[in-house]
Amino acid sequence: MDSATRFNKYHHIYLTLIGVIMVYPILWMVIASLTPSHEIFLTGRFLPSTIQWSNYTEALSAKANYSLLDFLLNTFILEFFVISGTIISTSLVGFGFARVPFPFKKILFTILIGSLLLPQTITLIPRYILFSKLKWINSYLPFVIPSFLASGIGGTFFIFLVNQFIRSIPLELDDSAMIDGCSRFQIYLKIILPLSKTVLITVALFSFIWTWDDFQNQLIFINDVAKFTISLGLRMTIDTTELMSWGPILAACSIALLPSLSVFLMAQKYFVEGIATTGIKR
Amino acid sequence: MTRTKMRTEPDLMKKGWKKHTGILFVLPWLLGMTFFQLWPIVHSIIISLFDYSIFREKEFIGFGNFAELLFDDDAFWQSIKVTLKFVFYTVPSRIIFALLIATILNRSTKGIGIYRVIYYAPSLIGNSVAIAIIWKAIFDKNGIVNLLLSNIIHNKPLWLGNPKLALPTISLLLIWQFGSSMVIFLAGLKQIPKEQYEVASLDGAGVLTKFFKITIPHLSPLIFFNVLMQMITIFQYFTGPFVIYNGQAGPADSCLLLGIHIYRSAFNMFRLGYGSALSIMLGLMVGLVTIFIFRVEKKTVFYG
Repeated sequence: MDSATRFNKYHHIYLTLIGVIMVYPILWMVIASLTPSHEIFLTGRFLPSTIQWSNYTEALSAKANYSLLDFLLNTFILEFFVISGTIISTSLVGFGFARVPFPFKKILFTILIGSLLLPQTITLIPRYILFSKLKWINSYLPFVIPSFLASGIGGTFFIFLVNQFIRSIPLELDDSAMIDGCSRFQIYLKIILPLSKTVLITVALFSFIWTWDDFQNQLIFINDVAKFTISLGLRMTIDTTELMSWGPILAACSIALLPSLSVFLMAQKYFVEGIATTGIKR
Repeated sequence: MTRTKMRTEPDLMKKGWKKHTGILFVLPWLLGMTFFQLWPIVHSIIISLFDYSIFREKEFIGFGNFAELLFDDDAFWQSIKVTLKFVFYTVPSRIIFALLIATILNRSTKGIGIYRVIYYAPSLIGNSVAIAIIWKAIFDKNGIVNLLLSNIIHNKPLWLGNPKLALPTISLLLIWQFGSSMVIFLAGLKQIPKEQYEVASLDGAGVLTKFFKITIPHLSPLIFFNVLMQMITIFQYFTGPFVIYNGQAGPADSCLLLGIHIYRSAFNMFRLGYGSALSIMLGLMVGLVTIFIFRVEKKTVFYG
């Protein structure tokens, strides 16, 4: 065995070991969610003595008139509008910065970069005041309207991503379309958008997961249980039912993680490439 | 003469108008930037000078809020201490971990895709409420971590109930999410020319020499960028302790992050002015550290 293969072999041992630690919390959650509550913390055994499906039925049963299914549905509705808005706005703005000349472009691009460094916590209270004056509190407008204006969660990052991608499309395509009499908007709509499918899928996927995981904004802008998202609903579940045992709680967690985790696993290539390109070409 | 003039003028006008229509493409962002970013910052500064509650008429008090937080609010100083500790525990570990794993992963040929997925997943889902709840369960007194450690340590530590261990345990939740930095570093490593390593090997350079003389300098712009972005995110962290301690700040306020203090002031005690003053202090701190990181960058980062 030469030194290179030996090196590789050792490294696979570390990598696997760390990999086990990485997935263990999630693996444990899934197994524990199928374990009778009294067994979860007691035994040293890896698998439960019996599979306790009732944890899931209990987690999904309605509490205070609403169940996890309502919160899931709410979150999907919110996601639909946020993702649509994000795709439309960030593709337009990304195209603008990549292809169209306009006054103060350099300064505006610098502001765009600068806004990446802005701690969002500073804007939290003024946004709350703004949204309450607009009577948007307890609706999804504080999430949907900013996403249509390319300034929702991850907005700046997405503009960057789209901008980088469009820059890699040959300019000759625009030139020949312009000679054919296409306007800038037609170039955007008929040439650039169809070619940008991959980057827009990436934007949609990141937008989905970040909205799914968001907690602080939802906590502040939504107070009505009827409008609760999965993050808020899940927190309410653990908070209101002190007596509720770990089995159903972990079943609820598994349900809450299933959509984001499966989206990631199915589309991990988009996530990897999306994060890698913005990191490299800043 | 007049005919040509009449013909050119609308053309020119059209051209001039066209030059400005470009801005329509970025208009959505301009509006969003103005109303949801720039104006809120200005507004935050303004209301930090007021005694501003949802229930009462607001009242101008100058730097009263700042005087209060500096001289009259032990929780503020506690939250500064906790936040700085938290950034210090979390950011370097995350970056170093991401760097080491990316370097190892870059050398392996088999299974790189699977490892990458496994390491990257936590950084995408780790900020959710569900993961915070899971952290609470696995670090419970009778949780799986103590069960696994029961052969080594006999008295079960109260990870999240002990003022000394609580913050590091939450920090662990964020270090667990090193994956996104790792993916960026991995992409950067792919761009380093292999010949440089081969030449160094011929010169008799060992693994460590190559790591410090070739890998680190090449990745330094990326390392700088990641340290900066992670620092900004971690300074504002909120979800983990808020969910785990149900709105409280952990044993003996040991997890009172600035983000939690701001939330409590503004949305539990309804003191919006005071909360704004606190968030401006957060902004100042992040700003200072950002300037510091840029200074270090100028001296150390290698743009090859």
